[in-house]
Amino acid sequence: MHVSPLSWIALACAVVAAVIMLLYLVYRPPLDTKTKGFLALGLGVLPIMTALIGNVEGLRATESQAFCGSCHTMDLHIADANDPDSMGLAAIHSRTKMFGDRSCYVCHKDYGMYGYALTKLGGMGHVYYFLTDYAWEDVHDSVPRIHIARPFRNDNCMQCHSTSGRLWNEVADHQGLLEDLRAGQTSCASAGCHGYAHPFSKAAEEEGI
Amino acid sequence: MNRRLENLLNTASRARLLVAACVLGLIALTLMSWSLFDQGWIPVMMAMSIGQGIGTLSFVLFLLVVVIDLRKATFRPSMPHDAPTNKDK
Repeated sequence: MHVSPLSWIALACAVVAAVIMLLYLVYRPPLDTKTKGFLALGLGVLPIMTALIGNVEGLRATESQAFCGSCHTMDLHIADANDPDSMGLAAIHSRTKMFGDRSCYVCHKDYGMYGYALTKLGGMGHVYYFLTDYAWEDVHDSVPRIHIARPFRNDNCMQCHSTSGRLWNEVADHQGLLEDLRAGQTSCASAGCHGYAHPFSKAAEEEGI
Repeated sequence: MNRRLENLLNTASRARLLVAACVLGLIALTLMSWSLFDQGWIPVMMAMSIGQGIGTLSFVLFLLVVVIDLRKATFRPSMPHDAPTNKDK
C-alpha cells in the first residue's frame, strides 16, 4: 500500500475535522461565534479539503492496473498483462515503462476531447455490469463472456505508433493497408496482424461459443 | 416547498441540526479517508459518491443553522439615524 503525501494532507484535514466534531458532540458548547467558527472549519473547510484531495487521488487511482484488477473478473487479464512470458499485445506493452502499472488505462482510455469523462462513464458501465452480472460468477466462467464494449480503436495505437515513421512504413503490410489502418477499417490488434491484446481470452471465448 | 423550508427554519432546533451534521460528517470523513488507504473500486466509489453526498448533507445542515441564526439577528443600518433632539419635537 502506497500512500502519497497528498493523501497524508487529506488525512490530517480529516483527523482535525473529526476532532472538532467529536469535541462538539461531547461538550456541546454554546453556539457563539467562536463555536460556529470552529464548526465551519470542522464541517466545511476541512472536509471539503479532504474531499477535493480525495477526488484527485481517487481519480488517479482509477488509472492504475491495481484498480482495474480490484474486480476479480479482471484477474486473468491482469495476470496475462503482467506475465513476463506472454507475447500478447497487452503483456508486451505492460513491460514498457510508459504503460507499466497504468497499462489498462493507457490502452483503453478514450483519447478524444472529452476522453477523460467518457472513459470514466465507460467505467461506470463496467461497475453496472459487474454488480448486475459478473460479481457472483467465477472468473473462469466470465472470461468467455467478457468482451470489449466497442472494437478497439487504432487511434489508441496511433498515439505512439504514428504510422508516418520510415521503419513503420518499410513493412509491406503497413504500406498496403495504410489508409485502412488510419481509418480504423483494419484493426492492428487482430488475428492476421499483431494478434489480440489478450490472446487467452479469445481462446476462452471461442471455446465458450 | 418554500412553506416547508420556512417552517423548518422557524422551528428546527439548532443543537439537533448540529448533532446530525457532526454525525453525518464523521461518517463521510470515514468513507473518504478509507479511500485514501485502500484504492480498490469499492472504497474509491464509496468515497466519491456516498461519502461526498453525506458530507455535503452535513455541510448543508450547518449552513441551515447559520441561516436560522441570521434570520434571528437584528441588523442595524450601516449609518444609524441621528438621535432625535428637542428641536425635532
